[in-house]
Amino acid sequence: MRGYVTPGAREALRKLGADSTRGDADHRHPGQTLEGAAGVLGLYYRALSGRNAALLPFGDNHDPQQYPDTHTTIRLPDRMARFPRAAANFGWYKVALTHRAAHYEGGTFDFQFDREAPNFSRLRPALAAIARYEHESDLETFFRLFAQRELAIELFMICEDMRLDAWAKRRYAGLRQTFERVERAALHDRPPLATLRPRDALAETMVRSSLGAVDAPVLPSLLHDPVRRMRAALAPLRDKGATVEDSAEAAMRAYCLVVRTPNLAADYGTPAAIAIEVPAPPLAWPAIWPEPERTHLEGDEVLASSIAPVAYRDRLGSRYTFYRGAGPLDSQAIYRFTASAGTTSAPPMRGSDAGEDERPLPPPEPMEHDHHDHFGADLEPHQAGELHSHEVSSFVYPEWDHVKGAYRRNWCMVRESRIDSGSSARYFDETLQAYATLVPEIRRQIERLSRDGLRKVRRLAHGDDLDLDAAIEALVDRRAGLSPSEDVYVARQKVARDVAVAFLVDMSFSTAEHVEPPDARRNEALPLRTGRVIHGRTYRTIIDLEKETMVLLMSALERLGDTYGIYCFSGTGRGDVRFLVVKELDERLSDRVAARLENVKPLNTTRMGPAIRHALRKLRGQEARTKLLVLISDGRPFDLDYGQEYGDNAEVEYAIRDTREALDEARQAGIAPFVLTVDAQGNDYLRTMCEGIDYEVLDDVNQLPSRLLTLYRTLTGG
Amino acid sequence: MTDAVTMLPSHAATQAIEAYRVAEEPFYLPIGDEIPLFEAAWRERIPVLLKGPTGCGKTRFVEYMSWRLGHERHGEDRGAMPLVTISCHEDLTATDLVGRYLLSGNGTEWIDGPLTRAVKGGGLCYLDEVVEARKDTIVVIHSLTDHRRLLPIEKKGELIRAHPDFLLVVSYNPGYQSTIKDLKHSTRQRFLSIEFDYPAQTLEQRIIAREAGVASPTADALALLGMQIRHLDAQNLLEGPGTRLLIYAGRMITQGVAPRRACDVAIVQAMTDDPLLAKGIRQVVEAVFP
Repeated sequence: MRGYVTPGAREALRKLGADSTRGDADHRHPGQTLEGAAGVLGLYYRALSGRNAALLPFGDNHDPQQYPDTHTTIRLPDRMARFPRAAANFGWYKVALTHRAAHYEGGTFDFQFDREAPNFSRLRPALAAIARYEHESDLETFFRLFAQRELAIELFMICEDMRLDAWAKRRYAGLRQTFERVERAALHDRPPLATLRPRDALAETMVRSSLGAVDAPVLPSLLHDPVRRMRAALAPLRDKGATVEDSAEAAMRAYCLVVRTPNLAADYGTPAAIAIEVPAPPLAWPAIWPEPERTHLEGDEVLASSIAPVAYRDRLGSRYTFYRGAGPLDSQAIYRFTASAGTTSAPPMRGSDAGEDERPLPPPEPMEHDHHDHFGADLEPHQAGELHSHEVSSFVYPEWDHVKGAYRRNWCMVRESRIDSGSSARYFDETLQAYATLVPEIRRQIERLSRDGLRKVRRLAHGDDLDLDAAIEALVDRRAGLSPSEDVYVARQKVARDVAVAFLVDMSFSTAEHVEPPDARRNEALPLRTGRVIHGRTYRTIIDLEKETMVLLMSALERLGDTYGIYCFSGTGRGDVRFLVVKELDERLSDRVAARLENVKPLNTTRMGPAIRHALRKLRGQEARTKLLVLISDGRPFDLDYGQEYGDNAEVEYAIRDTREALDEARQAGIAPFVLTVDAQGNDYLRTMCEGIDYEVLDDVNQLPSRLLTLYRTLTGG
Repeated sequence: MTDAVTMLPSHAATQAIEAYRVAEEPFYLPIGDEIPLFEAAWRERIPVLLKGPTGCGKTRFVEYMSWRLGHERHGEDRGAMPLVTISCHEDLTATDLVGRYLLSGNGTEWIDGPLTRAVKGGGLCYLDEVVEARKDTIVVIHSLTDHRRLLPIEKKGELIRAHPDFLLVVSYNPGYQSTIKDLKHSTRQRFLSIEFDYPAQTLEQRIIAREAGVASPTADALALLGMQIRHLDAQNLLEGPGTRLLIYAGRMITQGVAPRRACDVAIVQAMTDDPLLAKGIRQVVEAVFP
């Protein structure tokens, strides 16, 4: 795109100085970073403009034109060190954002072609008299009036900036001083007039006026009248009632003055200070619009006109169009569209929705079965085969050996990791949709649960009703001449729920088994019809049902406000028990957490003991009054080296006894365990494994979602 | 429960209700057609539900209407309709509304609750922030709010027929609806709903100027500030500042507190405890006020 290189811009911005490799000034005061202020500034901008926008740093601080602003993205230098005081540098950002917000508050984009300008006679033709494209914004129509459209856009923006800065300074009295300081600095950084060609010099005086310059510019006599006329044309923009239409009219006049000025350097008279107060002779403005043909002056082809941008102001970019892609765009708009399309690849610095959830959690506190449980090099481990953890996310636990009747020290290694988030929370949302018929019922149950927490309290000083016993006692006391108690009322008082629950879900390979579709005749309450496509499949597996249950649980428990964690487990031997976190107890349910469910997949074996022990460790850290561990499994515990050394037939007994021991440990720690299995043969071993512990066998796995929620209510409501 | 319907107002009830009259005309600027709507509802005795954010003038509107209806009815001499206001909260029970037995001397004494007093004596009964009350509490108004216009007092086994001038008005703030804090549909559908919102900037400026006694530029700035902070509410604040808060800030300014400081104590601190958010709002305050 020829014509809009801005040689002055790079220089101007270099002075603003964000390049730490050069310039001593930067070393003296590091200035204000955008990153450090983006949070506050984002709120500030949203309050002023009522719009959401991401504040992003320029890719290159020296080139403000590479990414013009859009309606949703604002580009600012990543560091501001123009002023010696930190507050002033912050103020610079604030002024830049106030200016940008003013475009929306002050109505730049509300321009109406047909609306009269309060301070100018109308040069614009009637809208009916000009051809319009479909889906063309009024600003686009306006800019099509000009043969040199890019120049017109620049001039319009200078007028509009001038109007809005004056408007903003009136509106934000508290910011006026800061605003004026920033304007003075911008004025100070302007390129010297003497170095500019006449046309650029005229445009430059316009920018300077817009920044509040009052000095009479020193220019060749050729420019004296145009500068006077320019000043007169721009003056009304500072009026209180000036509108965007005024800016448009002023821009038309400025455009006429600028294009009539030659663009070649030559001798145009001795530079002298212009007597601003002397009025220029009147000039007849052109009456024919759109401009019939390009006014052609010598030098137009060779030398592009250039207006150095003002650093704190924004570029119009593509915002004057309607974005629909319909209708023709001029070359500049096309250029800017492509330029801004590239912005998506720039790394987001502080997205409003990013970064919050993935803050690394602090390392877990060392606890009794911890990885620093060494005996020293000179001591033999008292039992061969002990494991030691050298990683933060690995934990060593003992295992119960029922044959020996003793714990095996440091026997199992639990490796904890977070499940990677899938691409989106679609799985979560789809599941909720599929179970839409069940969700209201769950909601009702859960809400009942939260209201159930009421308890009748007797013998109170205030209450709804008389406590009959206490009232009779009081009367008896009074008759007997004793002083009666005043606590004679009963009330229903609320008992706050205080529940923390960890769900431990079996992810062994057997959960990949297909599930018989629900028999609709047998159980009408089942939410999913036979053959219904969910997550792109008609068949479902055990793990599908487990995952769907988790979704329903999460959405229900969020409403209830209980603390809950969801963990999956599987493994390949005692050295590698995998403990996978879907949601930590203290984690919020965010889209990222919801997206993890997509990646829950069947893995290997089912070594329950260490998984239970690790879940207990997490629950122990909770302060809730009621603590619950819910184990959801599809079969008995089994692993490759889970008691096999006592003979092939011993493994069942060994694994069950260890699991049983782990569940007992839970009870001792004040955590109520509950085992839910979808293995129809579960009764055989669960009787041993869960003697005295609550458990339930579901003979139809399809009931899992609805049943678990009912169970949850029973378990925590009592 | 007996079949007897107690026909009141009794003399005592009429006297008791006198205490609830608004003495002076409250200042109220209508923001829409709420006044004629309320008057129509009053003539038909249809209960009214006022919906709107905190501090947008719901309570003031009810006070104003009680005054206005009273003057239409009685002329200058008797003043406003009685207005019984009950602020609902989580621990409000049906007993608190209807009445209870208290221990006295050698026996018990029945004390009417505020709702019963209003039902007997007539006038407006205003349940402020009705969603805050437990759902089982609110059920007592059901028979009052349909054609029956009866209040059952279970503990006494009485049914009280409402005074012909009795009208129930409730308010509710849809802004912070949580799952549990929502009106039951069976309750909701007994009311005519009038929606309130923050007044437009120019109107709000007049209200602030009048209520806080500040000069027009200050009122203007406060109204602007209010509008801008409300831009934040969807994502950051549960609710934006109500007109009431802006008036408080204005009054602090009238009392000689520096404007920025006044806004800080009246508005910023009331909006949030989050330091970043407070800082953001403070930036807006500092832009608006020198």
